[in-house]
Amino acid sequence: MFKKQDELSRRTFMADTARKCLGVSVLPMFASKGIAATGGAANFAPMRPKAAKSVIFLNMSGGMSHLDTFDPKEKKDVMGPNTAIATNADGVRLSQYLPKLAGHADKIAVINSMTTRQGAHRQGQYILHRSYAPRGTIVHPVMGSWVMRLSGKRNSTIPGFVMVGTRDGTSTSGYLGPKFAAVPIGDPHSGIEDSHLPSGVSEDDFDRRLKLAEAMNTRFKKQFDHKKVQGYENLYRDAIQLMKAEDLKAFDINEEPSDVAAEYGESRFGQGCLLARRLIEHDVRYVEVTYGSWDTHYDNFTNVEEKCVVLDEALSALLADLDRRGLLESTVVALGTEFGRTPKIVEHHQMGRDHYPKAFSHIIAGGGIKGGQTYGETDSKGMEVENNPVTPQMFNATIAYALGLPLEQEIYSPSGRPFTISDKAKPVTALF
Amino acid sequence: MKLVRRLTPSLFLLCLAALWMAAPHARGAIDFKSRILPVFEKKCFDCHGAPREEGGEVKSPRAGLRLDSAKGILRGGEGGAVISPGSPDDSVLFQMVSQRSSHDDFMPKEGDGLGPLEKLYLKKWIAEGAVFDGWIGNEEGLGDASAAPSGSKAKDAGAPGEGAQVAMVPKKTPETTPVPAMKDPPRAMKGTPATVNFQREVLPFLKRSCVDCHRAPYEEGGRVKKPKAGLRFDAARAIIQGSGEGPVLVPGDPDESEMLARVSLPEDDDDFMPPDGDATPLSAAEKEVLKRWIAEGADFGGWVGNEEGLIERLPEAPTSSEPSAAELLAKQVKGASAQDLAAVTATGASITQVAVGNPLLRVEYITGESAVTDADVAKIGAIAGNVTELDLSETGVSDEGLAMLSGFDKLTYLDLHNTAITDVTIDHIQKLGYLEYLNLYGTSVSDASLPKIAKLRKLKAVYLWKTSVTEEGAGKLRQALRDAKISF
Repeated sequence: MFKKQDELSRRTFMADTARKCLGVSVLPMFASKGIAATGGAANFAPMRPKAAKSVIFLNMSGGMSHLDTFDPKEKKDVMGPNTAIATNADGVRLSQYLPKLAGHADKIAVINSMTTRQGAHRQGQYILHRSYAPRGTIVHPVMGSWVMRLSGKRNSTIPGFVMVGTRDGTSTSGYLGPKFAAVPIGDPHSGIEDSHLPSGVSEDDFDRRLKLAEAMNTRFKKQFDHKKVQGYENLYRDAIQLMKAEDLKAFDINEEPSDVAAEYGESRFGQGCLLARRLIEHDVRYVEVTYGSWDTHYDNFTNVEEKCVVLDEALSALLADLDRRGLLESTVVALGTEFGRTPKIVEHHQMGRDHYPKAFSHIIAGGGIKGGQTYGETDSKGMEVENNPVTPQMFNATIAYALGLPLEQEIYSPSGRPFTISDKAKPVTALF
Repeated sequence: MKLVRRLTPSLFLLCLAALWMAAPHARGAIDFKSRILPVFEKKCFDCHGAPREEGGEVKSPRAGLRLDSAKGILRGGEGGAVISPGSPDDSVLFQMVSQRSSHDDFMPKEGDGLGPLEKLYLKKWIAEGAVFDGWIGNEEGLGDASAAPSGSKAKDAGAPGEGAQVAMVPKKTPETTPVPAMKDPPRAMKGTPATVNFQREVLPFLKRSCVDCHRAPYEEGGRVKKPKAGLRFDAARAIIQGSGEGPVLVPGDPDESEMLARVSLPEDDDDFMPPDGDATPLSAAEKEVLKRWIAEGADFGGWVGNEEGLIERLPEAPTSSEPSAAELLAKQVKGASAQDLAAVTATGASITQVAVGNPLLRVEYITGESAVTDADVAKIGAIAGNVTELDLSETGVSDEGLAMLSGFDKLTYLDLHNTAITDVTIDHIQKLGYLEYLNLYGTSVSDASLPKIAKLRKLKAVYLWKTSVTEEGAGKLRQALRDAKISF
């Protein structure tokens, strides 16, 4: 038993070291140059015209309180010090912690009937991203990897799927393999690490070194003609392409005019949203930005209010910025969390709220979604979903539908099991 | 005896070829040059071509296998022969491209694998004896066939080295109908009214021969029966959607429509539909009707079928009781020619269909936009009639180069943000009556253009941020285009 655990941690350690020292998890993404010849986009034709082209997924990790954000109620006993405010759209009411966003409610659809059975963080995040419940024997791919698998990159010179500020150690692409994995970015300010030539090495020198490495590897590759060996070779080549890519400046938010950068706020999440917009502009398909610490068991109201200052500023700026650039039509902006928080306030935890998977809220905007609407309702206390329940799988199906992806297309895992992008869930087409 | 056996298939093929000429499209032999060669060129030549110099180094063909000449294909690679004429299942080449892409031996190693139709053609071609029909290819650097690696499987696999001689006999026969990739424009698109009535002429034999296996999931004996291959023929949208592997119907193009290819195979072929004894095969007349129906654009004539279990349809927008612009326009165009498409792609443009089964295109520059010039963009003019979405944002285009825009009469989406264009360009687009999306942010377009823009009544969104347009001008435009979003 102990031995097994030791081995596991040793493996984790190795993987971690490889990632940190070699950038291994960063690199496998830059795959598939086959489509470069066509100028960039894969020859993906969506299932319907006017489909969206990219996704910005905002992951509120930790479990965002629905009552204190997108599903505020009149009843004082569940709202504590918080209250609801009107917005610029008749169909949407928000918590008073989101005053700026109230000016952009005409762009968003709020779903107040989210529901799941996963009440623990890891499981909840897993199903939110992967549409399947975790199993011991398989790792399911996240939405971004699915999107890459079904529709390919748009811009061949830079990664197609980027995750900003995520700390989840589970493989993003699961059984789809490293080719479809996310490129993780820790700090939006530093861009992709180690993506530049070391100083003092000219491009010629660099090419020569590569050739030398290639020559030394030839025998090894012959001897071990294995997919993974080949995979690593591709990884190097694609990484090199990236280092030379003009589009790499998409990752550099320091190039952004200071007034625009300021609109998003100084926070890491705000700057992550700014980076997401730059990446989408350069035709990256899927960007996820994580904003954590919503796990407000203690002192819910102070914490949520603080968190909302950042969210309010960043999300408002993102929506407005995408809109004025004409990008909101082709970009789905989705905000999700693993579950909501209890309507009942736990007083002896300084007015805290616990996990509540039965009812919570997501929002979705752009990409053909009709703004200014609320879909689904909870009862007057935010306890039960009253109508139009939406599961995380249906939410993912809705994103996939917006992108014109084939929802019923089965992809087989290496063990031969069929999977679909959102576990055969139906999209909520009423939102469009 | 051996000789006879070897000759028989090719004699048979000659007969087939003659048949093909007499009754084109009856159930033709696969033409190597038009059906197989382009696939090899696109997916295999990169690694399996003649040795070439790249960056001062000679790159030899992978695994010693060359697919760029008949000799090379028959000789095989280091591991021996790769095709066994007459027997696709014993042919390594076919095995490698048809297994799961996750398999270590899957080919091609890079880029997309072969499509279902391409695999079908390849299989059929090998089954028919792998005839090259006079094609020789690039023999540069190839010794004579006897120099094939000794001890290879080449000998046991029907001695393809010699087979090459046999297979190349038809060399002197007249050209046996090379089926060009782009055929005559389908009838309906030439202006003749559509003649095939789907419900009266096509649906009855689909129901008789196909729907039993290919229909919505149903219960039988307590078990849910799913449609075979995920393919359903019981609803119009399901037919368009195709199977789990992709579309089976390409409206306007019978040759690319797998549903026709499958029923047209020889009846003893493994891939023939309907399979053995399951249902009555299509008669020759029915196949002809099916082909015509596809050629005419696969019009379902309002037939919907059984929508149960299909992904829900978009609710109709309240204002659009008429078909959307994209749907209307799609009916007016035929597919662009491969040549023209290639010329546009060569400028670095990316071209995509706006939707599955829709001949309208989106053209955009995704990377290296700043290097795009008027001369590049001029090339798009050749496919102007097919383009409904055009994104030239961030490129180096000028007013002069965009004079050609007046010819893009199907345009619904035009993005010119952050380019050097001025009011002059607006003159060129003021007649584009289908335009719904116009993005001009970051250009020097001014109030002078707004009355012209206001004439584009279908506009739903106009982007004028960071232009010379004034607040007053934007206000007037908002009044003129009440239903449109004017972003300023």
